[in-house]
Amino acid sequence: MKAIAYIILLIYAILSLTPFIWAFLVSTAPVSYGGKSVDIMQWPPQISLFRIPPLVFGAPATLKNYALVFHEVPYARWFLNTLIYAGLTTLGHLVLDSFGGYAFARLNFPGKNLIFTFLLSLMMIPVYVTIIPVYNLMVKYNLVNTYWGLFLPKLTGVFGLFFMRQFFYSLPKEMEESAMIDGAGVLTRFFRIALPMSKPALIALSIYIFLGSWNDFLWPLIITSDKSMFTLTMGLNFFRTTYYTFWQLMMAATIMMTLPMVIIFLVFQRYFVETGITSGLKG
Amino acid sequence: MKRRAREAIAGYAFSLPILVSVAVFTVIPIVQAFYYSFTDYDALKQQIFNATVDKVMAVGMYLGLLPEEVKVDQALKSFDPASFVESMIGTSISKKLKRILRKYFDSKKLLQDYASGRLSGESKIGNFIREYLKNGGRYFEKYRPDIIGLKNFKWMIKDEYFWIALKNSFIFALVVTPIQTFLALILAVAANSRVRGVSFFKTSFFIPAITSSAAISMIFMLLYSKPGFINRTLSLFGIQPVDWLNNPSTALPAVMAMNIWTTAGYFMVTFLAGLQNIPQSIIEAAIIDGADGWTRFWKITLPLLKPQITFVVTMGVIGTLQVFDQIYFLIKSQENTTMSMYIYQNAFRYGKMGYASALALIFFLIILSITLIQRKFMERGLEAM
Amino acid sequence: MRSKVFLTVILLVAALTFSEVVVRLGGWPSSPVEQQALQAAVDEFNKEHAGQIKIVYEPIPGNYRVKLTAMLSAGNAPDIFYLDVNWAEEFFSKGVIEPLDFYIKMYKLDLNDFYPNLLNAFKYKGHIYGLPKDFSTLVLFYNKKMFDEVGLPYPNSSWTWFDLLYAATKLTRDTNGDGKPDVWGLALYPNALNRVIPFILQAGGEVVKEDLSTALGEEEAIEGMKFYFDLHNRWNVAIAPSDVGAGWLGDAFGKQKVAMVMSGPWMLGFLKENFPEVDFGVAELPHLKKRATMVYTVCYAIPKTSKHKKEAFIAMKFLLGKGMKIFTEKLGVLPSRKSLAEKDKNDSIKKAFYAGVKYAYPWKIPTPSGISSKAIDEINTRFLKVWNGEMTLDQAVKEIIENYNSWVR
Repeated sequence: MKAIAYIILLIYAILSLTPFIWAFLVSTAPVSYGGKSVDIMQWPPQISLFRIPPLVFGAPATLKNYALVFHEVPYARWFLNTLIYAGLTTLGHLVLDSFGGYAFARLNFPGKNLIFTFLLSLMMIPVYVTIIPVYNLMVKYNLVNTYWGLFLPKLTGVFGLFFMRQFFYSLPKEMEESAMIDGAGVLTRFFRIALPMSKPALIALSIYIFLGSWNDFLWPLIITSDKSMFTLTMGLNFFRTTYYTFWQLMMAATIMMTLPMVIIFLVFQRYFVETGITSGLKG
Repeated sequence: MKRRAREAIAGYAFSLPILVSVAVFTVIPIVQAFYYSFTDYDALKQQIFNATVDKVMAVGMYLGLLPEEVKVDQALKSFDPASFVESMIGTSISKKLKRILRKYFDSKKLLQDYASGRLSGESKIGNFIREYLKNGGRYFEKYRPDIIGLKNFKWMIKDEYFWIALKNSFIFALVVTPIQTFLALILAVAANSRVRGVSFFKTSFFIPAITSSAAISMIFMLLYSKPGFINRTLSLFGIQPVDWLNNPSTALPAVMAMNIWTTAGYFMVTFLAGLQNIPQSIIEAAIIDGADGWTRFWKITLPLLKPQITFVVTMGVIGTLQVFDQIYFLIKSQENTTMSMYIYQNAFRYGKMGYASALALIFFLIILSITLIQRKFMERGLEAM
Repeated sequence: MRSKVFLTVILLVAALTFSEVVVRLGGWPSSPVEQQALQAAVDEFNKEHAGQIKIVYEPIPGNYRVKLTAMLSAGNAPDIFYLDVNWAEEFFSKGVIEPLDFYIKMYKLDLNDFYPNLLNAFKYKGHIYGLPKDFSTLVLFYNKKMFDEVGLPYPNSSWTWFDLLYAATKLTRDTNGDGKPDVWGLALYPNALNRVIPFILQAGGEVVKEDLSTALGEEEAIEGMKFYFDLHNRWNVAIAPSDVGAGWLGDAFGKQKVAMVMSGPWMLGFLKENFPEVDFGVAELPHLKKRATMVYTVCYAIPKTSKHKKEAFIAMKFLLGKGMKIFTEKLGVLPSRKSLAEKDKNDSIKKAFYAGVKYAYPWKIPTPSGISSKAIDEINTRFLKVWNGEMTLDQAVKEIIENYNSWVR
């Protein structure tokens, strides 16, 4: 029984990792070697990793392509744009969702339940319904191709709000109640008691939002029109021209944009599981 | 009393920012999209009244006569202000605008001004028209899409591509969701059988899910190419190479397989968390009762995973129906298009924002009803177990 | 006194600089070289018109059509931009492009110097909406070494379909002795109406009739299509680039997997850069009843929303004159004006391209609505099925005829 389990898991682990390993191998193949272009489609591939330098596709492996990516396209700029986009979106959501989440979890105000139910019902609306009017709004206020246009409309999701509300809801009430008896106001309770206790949730939410915007493609595709405003996902297309696909560079760029997310994930993995935010990272 | 009032104020103040952002970027746009879907909103026509014209040139081009050649009374007989405006704008205008122009446009004055050389300079088309319009000038201030009732929806019924896109989206969801759910379940059960290295497996399964679909599409573009890795591997089993992405009959299945690959490992983690929450005592009791592994799985494990299954299937359906990035990068033939792609193309490639909104609206209603039906169906199905 | 003159001069210069009109020029950059070549032309113009008009070149990368649609609808499109002949009409019909007839008269642009085929491609409902900036015709590229190996004479302008088929049959060979061919006579695109059209025309057929309805169901047109697909399905002398792991025709040709391809001048730079070892020649496309080839061309156009149309036209006139000379010389593409083509008279490679433009068909499908992309897509989908043997040509033609009208609405 256990053996079968191991086999299943191993096969799937190989399936999961092979595409990335292959992409990495391709990214280390020089574009040309010995006066001829390196054929990354060759079969069987001449690969031998146990020598120095390793041999990939019949040529010595190199990391030059990674440097070349920065040279061929404004990769550094796209990296920065993506960082700004993901960073601002994350920051915005942290503020909006923690304040909002606290209000809906702990504070009583008329119409609260009605508003909350209404907000929840919005979760079902596909982005394609709102994207056209939102785009026109951006056009109207001249925000197309700006950082504002990129991240502002992204602050509207209610998932984070719902998540933070659930988290605050699950926190023990006693501390806040005793603070209230001591005369602490809402702000004190929120900043001094609730927020410090919700560190795991805030971290999980940050990663969730950051990852989502880092990998986002549709909105940058619509709202950015200038090369200098592109994000990394947009930039990938640059290695594919009508006449030629620069596989080595494309794979290098792909690996470089994936690696930071993998590292972040590995470091903060436990928060994902602890808070159960893994609800709908991707469809 | 005072405390409650203060709390209410704080409540509103705390929730205000998110409410504002939701109102501006979700609620109002929904209302607008609803309105758009009953209009012929054409992004390319948005500037028709803002374009500038040389007035003399505009009239001269339409009449085909120089100012000194014009005899006002004679020219007036054949002068149609509506077709004059259309020629100036370069495209057709609505019946309503034509009616207004024919009723209120001072053709005589325009022709007199032209013949006498009083007409000169450049102007925005809208302003130029309003200069000679006795009434109804507000219709020429800025572009207003025409309300065309249900025309967009009627056209949809006849639009072959709408049906193709809808069909493809459905196929995508119907194939991908069950397979990825099933696969995730198997992986979770395997990982839960007290094997070592679970965290390694979990991590490697998770990596596809945290990689952007744009990057994954690029990697698979490489792997799926005709002399690429996948065909070469399959040829070891004697399978002839297939041009996966360029052939319309294999492109969509190829993208679906890729999608399953990205999400199965991810949902496995959800199931694993559910499995680990099942108390060991229940399992042990079943073992004592003599239930074999298979029975235990069907009779105990599966029913206890009900919430996770519902969640995974719901997320799967919503996600697969709305898949976009992979389609954008990997699908070439219009025959393989999906609803999300078709909406995007109509709105942003062809500028047909009215029609695209109508498509989006229908798409939303379909997703909504599927989710509701599925929820009903799943609840019944799982209860029966 | 002197200082007064000085002051006047300064004021004058200031006034001039202040009133300098900026004309924005947009286009898709197909290569860095193209960008540099156009920039060189722009720089020359700016030098000549310093203080009056300044062109600012803004390349638009990515999905050009989507971006252009967005800019036109927001009213901030460049004052001059590229339009591809293939879909230009879809923009002409929406009223977003300024007709140029009046400007052409006002600024005395000599239209007789342009190749009429190219000029007519940008007419819509009797008006000229754009002026061609350059062109590319399809010619037959052949690999000299592979022809020598089988002892065949090189293709020339007298070649007919039969010569092509004969040569392709000879050139399709098994070189490694495994019983299967590994080099082929031709590479063709399986799903490209634009590559099939030359054959349709060569057979004496037409793409559309007088009333703009489709002519693909006519006997001659079918003959042309049949020959194209037979090269693959019946004679087995043609393959698709992807069959040999090539991204496109040029790639397959450069890898020396095929001896002939029908392609355009963009091949020249590509081969020089990526496959310098390939020794190739160029000939006009073979013919049957008629000579025919395909021409791709791009025009400059001015949007209706431009605030400086006259200045834009002055700039455009320069780009079509002196600018075209600079641009085409630097880039090695083919000028759309006869007077500029003179200098290439004795260029053995370019000769074939120029010969083609006289009888070439501009790559667009004229339709009553101006919309053709859907029809092209549908036809190509069926072509692919024919190529793959999933559908017969007769079936495909039948479906095309039956549905054509609904595709071009």
